[in-house]
Amino acid sequence: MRPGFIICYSVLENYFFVGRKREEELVDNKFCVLVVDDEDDTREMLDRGLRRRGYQVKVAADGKEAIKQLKASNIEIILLDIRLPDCEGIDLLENIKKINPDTEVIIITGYSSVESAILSMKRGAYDYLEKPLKIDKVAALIEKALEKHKLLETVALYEISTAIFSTIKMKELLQIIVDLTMKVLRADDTSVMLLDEQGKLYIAISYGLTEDIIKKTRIAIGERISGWVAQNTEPVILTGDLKDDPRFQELSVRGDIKSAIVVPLVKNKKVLGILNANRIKIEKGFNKGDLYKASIFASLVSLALDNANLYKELAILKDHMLLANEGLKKEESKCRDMIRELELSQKQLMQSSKLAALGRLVSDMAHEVNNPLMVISGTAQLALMEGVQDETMKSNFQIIRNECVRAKDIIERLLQFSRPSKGEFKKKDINDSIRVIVSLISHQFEINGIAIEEHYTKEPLWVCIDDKQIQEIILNIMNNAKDAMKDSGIIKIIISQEQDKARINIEDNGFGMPQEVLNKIFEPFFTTKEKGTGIGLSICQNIIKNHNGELNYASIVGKGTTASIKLPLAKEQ
Amino acid sequence: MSKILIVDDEPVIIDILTKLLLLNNFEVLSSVTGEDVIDILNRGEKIDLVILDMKMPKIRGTDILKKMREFDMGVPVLILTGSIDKYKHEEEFKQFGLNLDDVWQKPVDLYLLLEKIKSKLMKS
Repeated sequence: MRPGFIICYSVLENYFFVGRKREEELVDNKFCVLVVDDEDDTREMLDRGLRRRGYQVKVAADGKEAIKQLKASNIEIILLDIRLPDCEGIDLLENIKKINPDTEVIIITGYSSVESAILSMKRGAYDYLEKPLKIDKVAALIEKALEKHKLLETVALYEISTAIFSTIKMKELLQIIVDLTMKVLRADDTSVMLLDEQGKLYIAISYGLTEDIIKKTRIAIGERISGWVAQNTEPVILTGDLKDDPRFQELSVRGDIKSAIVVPLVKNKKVLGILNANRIKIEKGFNKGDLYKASIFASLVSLALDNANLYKELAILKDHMLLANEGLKKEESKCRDMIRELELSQKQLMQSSKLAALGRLVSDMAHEVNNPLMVISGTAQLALMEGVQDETMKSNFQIIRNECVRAKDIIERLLQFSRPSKGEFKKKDINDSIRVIVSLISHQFEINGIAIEEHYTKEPLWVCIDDKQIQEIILNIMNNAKDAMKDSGIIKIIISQEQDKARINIEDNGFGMPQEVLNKIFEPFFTTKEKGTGIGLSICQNIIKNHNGELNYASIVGKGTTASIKLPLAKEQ
Repeated sequence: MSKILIVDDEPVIIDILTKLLLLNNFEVLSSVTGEDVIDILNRGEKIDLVILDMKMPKIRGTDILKKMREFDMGVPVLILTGSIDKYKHEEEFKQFGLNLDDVWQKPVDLYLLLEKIKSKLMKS
């Protein structure tokens, strides 16, 4: 069983001694030199000479004693005789480096052999001295070795800080911290505990602990060693039995830990968490040098953790901002949609009010014009009835009569445009409606050299329509198609189902329309025909809209035009 | 010989229709204001058909139809109007016992009008 003792240090040099054994040398700031030599004279000379120069000195006559001393104390320099009674100095050097790689070893040899010197240097010795030794020379070499030792520590510290500040991402940072802790403090079990939202310590990352322990562990401030360190913001080294430490008497301690350093992670007087470094398999306990390193390391870790937290907060803030921005974009999009709808409504309102005004105007005009038309046409017809003999007169009266009928038709169409009938909607197979109208006009179209190709659906396509209105639209579109072909051509009528809509495509291979004409075809009174009124397609569009459908035109100059009607399929009842 | 009453605020139209009807051996009575129609019908004179304009300055065609229904005159009527959305007023016409094919919009083909008048008289 290991000798039980505990030594705890604070970084502020307020240290505590509790336990059976007081290790005076560990609290002294002097560097410690271990002299390992089987010659009494050499040991005594070095002990005396080095003490005089301010070093703590320990002595060992053989390898066994040397290892014992090394494990028990914090030794910076070892003067090692290459020939010992119980072992070869070279082998002992290897063991020393295993126990504490930071300890600098200077080889003492009575045999000035270059080979043994090179070998010892290869095994990690700092330098070698030849016997007989001169104390001044020894002290000068020790000073040099210590300088190297300090330099290495500075370099290590620089490397640590570079590594720690290489990331601001918490997950990566925690991994770097535990890796460095293992390396820098030569721990075989390490963990970083941070404070959760309830102010309890949880294990943010660890080496050597099971997932279950990591998940379950929640330590309140003041509880156990970790909680004590967080509460007191005071680092501790723990070695040996803690039963005798009055601070930890009420606290539970992990039994498998041989030595531990627990350091608070503090930034701006605020505890962020704690860093644990434990030695379980390594026999040698942590010492003052380790605590010193751990304290500096912890201050760097605290800074990096604080940065990572700030980064995390910034990232959250950024997410919130992005979310808010996304929300704003959505709102903006909604506003735009609303504006579009308003503009559309406004246009429709304008169109409706225009149509209403036009309706009133046309209605009044129709009354005013139809009466004189009646007079003109009636007079002409009466003259014909009364028996006009002159053929020219007869022909003239007939022309008058026909033109009156044309004028009446124009007025009728204007009336229809301005007062679109709501229509009588009935469930109907659109194939049947179209078949009827095609059968009525196909002969006339054939005479004009125009063939009609009909493509119906196999199954009925039920739509809810005013049959007469839809037939009128088909007739109108087909007449337009006919007018777009000079002497011959083909009109294809293709009926199909497109999701929940019936589609009627009327394709001609006529002249086609340029885009600027296509853009205007639904405008009332726009026409490219010599005798057209320009309201046919406006009426068609109004009627299709009343059917909750769509009427679209596509055209390529020289190739032809396709009118496409979409009507919602009737709901099954 | 059937007697036909023409009601229209346009004297020229009354003239044309009168000529048409006389030419086809009908007796013709006419009213330009429409206000005296009920009097004419009430004075015991047998009228076989009324050709009625709807939009007149002093009295509307519908008012005349109402009066005729009120007095239960049972005279067939043919509407001849300058402008009307007959589909919109279909129900209204039905109340006066008129079908949509009894409502004609000017200008009319006189031959067709004549055929219609004859057919209405045959039915009555």
